[in-house]
Amino acid sequence: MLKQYNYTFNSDSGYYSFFTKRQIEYRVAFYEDFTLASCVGNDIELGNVYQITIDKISSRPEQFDVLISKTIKNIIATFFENIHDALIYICDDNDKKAFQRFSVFDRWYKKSSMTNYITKIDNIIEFDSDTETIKLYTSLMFHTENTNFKTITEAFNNISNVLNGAKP
Amino acid sequence: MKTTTVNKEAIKQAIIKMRDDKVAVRSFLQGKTSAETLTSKGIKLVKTI
Repeated sequence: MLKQYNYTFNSDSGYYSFFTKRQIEYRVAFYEDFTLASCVGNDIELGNVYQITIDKISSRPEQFDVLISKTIKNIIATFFENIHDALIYICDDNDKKAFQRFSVFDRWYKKSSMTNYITKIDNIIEFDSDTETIKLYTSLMFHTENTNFKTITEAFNNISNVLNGAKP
Repeated sequence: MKTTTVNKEAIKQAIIKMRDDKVAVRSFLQGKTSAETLTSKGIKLVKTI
């Protein structure tokens, strides 16, 4: 019995992928994110911060398949083998389904053993730009042994503090 | 943590870029955007595992 799907890294394209039993492909990409760096001074150490994007590469509806979440949780858990890296996950509300995706991600996290060693803090960001109202559901995850946890957390919290007019 | 003056407009622009980066990467994963386009936007996919 499978515990998860096997995933591979496509070195040419730079993402991880796996196929479900219904032959639906999922792709997972990690990329550098400098959002937190913009919230602190240049001389403050944050370590490496990445953003993760997970996408189903098919318009076909996927049936409930517990192996999908297990595979993605495994990819994320393996990411944190480097305890000094932090991870940002965001859901854009432009299709009004962000809260749904955000809740699914939160449920995956809370049902996993990652809660024992990965901290996740959430932040809903909303502000008006020149052309639109932006609403993002954001999560920051980091290892409990990450020595930069204090500066990372403060930088993440600075986002809403500054946007809401409070002093950072 | 040292006291740091944080520019509200700079943070807004950083948030917009964070959102736009995700849109671009999703488009790339869907095969609708080229790797060169990601590079031109300063997005670097990495092997973390």
